[in-house]
Amino acid sequence: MEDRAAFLALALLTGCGGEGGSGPVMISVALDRADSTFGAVRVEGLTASALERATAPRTGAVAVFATPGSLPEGAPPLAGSWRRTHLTLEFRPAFPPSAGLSLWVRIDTAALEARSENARPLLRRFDLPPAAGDSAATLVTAIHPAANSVPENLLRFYLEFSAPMRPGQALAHIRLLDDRGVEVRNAFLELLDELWDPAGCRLTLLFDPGRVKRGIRTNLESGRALHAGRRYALRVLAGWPDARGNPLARGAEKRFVATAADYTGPVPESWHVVVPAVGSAGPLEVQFGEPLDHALARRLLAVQDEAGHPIGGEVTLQPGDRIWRFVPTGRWLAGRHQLLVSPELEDVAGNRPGRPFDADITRTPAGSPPTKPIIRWFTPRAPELAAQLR
Amino acid sequence: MRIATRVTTMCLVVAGGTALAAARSDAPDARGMRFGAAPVQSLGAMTFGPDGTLFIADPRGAALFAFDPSDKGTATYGEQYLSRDIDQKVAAALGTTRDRVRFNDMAVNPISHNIFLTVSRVDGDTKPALIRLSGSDAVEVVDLSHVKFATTPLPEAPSPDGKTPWGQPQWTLSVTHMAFADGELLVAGLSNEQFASALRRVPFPFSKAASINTVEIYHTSHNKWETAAPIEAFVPITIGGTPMIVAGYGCSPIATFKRADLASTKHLRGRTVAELGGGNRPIDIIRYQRDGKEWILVANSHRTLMRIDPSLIAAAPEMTKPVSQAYEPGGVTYLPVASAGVMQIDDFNSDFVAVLQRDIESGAVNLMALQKRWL
Repeated sequence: MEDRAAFLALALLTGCGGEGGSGPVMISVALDRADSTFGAVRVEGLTASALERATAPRTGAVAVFATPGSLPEGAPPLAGSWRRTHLTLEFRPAFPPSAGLSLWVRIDTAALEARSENARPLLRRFDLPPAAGDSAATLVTAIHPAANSVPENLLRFYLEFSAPMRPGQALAHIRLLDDRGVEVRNAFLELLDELWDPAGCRLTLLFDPGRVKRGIRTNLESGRALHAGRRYALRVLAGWPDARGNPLARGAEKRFVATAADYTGPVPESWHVVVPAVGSAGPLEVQFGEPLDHALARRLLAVQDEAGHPIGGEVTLQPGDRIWRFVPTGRWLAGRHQLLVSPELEDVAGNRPGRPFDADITRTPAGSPPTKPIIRWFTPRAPELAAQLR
Repeated sequence: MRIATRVTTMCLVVAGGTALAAARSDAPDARGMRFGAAPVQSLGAMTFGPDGTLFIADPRGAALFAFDPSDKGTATYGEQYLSRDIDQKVAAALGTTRDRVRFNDMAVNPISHNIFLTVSRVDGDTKPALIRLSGSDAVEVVDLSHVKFATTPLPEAPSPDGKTPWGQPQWTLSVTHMAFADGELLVAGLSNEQFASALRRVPFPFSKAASINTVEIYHTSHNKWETAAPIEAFVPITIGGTPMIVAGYGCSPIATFKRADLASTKHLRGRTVAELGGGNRPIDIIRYQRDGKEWILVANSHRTLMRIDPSLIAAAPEMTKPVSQAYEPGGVTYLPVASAGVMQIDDFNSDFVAVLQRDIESGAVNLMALQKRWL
């Protein structure tokens, strides 16, 4: 325990302290030298009366939080105890915070000094180092659409990462470059809340739909971000912090060529369906003939038997998002089956079955797009003789 | 703002020792409770007495604890969600991430409506924690180093080093579930007697001697009499004027015991009345009232929430033959309630049952209030 009794102060930050005579408030986070876990938070520079108030139970005027990224509103503070030693206020957690978390120290100096003004509390962030065995840096694992040509009215990219990322950083770390290496500015929609999956590992990057859709003001003023026939690169910068605050292992780049705009939605009636054999657990394969939206195609197709009972199974999209494969958990029975296609399915340009993302209603009369799932019937084929004999 | 780094060395006060020394030490009260640091090694099954005494099992320490939670006021919560993302909130209080939090048990204080959770961190620091929720966002780790408590050894606890035939430490099964009825803490689990399924009765205050029964039942999925399978969850309930215990077993028969037999017969044979369907484990069982009628609610590891009518149990014939195939239910029927991922249940108030539930789409754990009028 000898070495555990010694601390290494990781960081010392000074913040604006009380203005009524007290000096600057200094917050430091001490790491346990033995294993680099968090040891204590120390606050110095508070007046004697502030120290008194800070250690009174349940004032909440001083608090420490431990989170895997940003500090959500209403997050409960880290359990532990505050005590004063001479002029220093010290917090020790009941449980050592896990490696890689961010520590937030919040000090409501106005409350501590019993001042009535509505001053913003002091908030300081410290990133705990990742665990020794946890140092594998985060990578971009995929960018969809995977194809190297996309229509000039492409609606979105999906960026997939090997670990959760810190939100709010995307547009600062993404560049769209044209074939001369010049950045295409304002190509993507700036959102207050970026579109991350719940795990924080997949970002939906939307092109500014106002520039994609014909006749909308930003489209008229700036034109589309992509132009058919030209080459582009989508570049992901390595400085993008993951949820632990560590930069990516390296940047990533996707090169592609823009092709003519796509104004036609998926036509399930025209898909090529490769049926499995009765009695087998073989895949049902649906060939779209064009790449569909990577995220939607995975979840908006379903299989049922003739009576409408759902059939469970595993869905995979083949690279390029042109082929959907479904492997049932059981075996295929004889008889007619239904492939259900949600009317919300989209291709990469956001076109839905019977409902283009961007239709010229002066030329194409608006029909009534489907509101219920579109059904493609299929019948598993008779088992092959060899299989019957087995 | 000035930024600098420095290296400091200083002495570390051993926190545990300080807490012990600083703790108030009063004479025990009428319930045998005194202020101090509760020497818990683990926190598992939990139940409240009608006066708000909180009983918690410490299986690793082979002890039972009674706490006075000193709850003040009445907690207020959101309506459908008592508390959203409770796993994330508990993780924040324990300084870790939600995937490293395990929930052991949940109990609602019948007086304050504060919700208590026994939890563990699974990332090396296995120190247990008792969480008190006194409102949707008011999550707090109860400081067990300054608390009013009483403790007693777990009667006939398995030896600390004992292993089950499949290598699991026996103490992990020494207490599976607890309930309080008529001045007694009822404790289900395994005893040291040849790895036997046991039901302990521990009077509270802990001054009187405890009793222990060994129990066996006919297992409707395994087609044999089982003496070693512990009761996974149970509820004391009076059915047709007879005080009973309705007990759920792994894989997953339901059996009843007459409470009167506990005092007269050391080794009890239960009466198997239902098979919930194999491949499942009942995690929690409660009774609750709706419009003056009593019902039983069962939370399951691999099935939905289930409602059972106690009057059907009273009239049911004993099951003595196995069900004919895997997963097949039998005997007393149940209503499968459309609620999946329920990990813990407790009666909340006249209108709601509190459930700890994992959302099977997002994976988040929420504390939900289920309306009794739909149960």
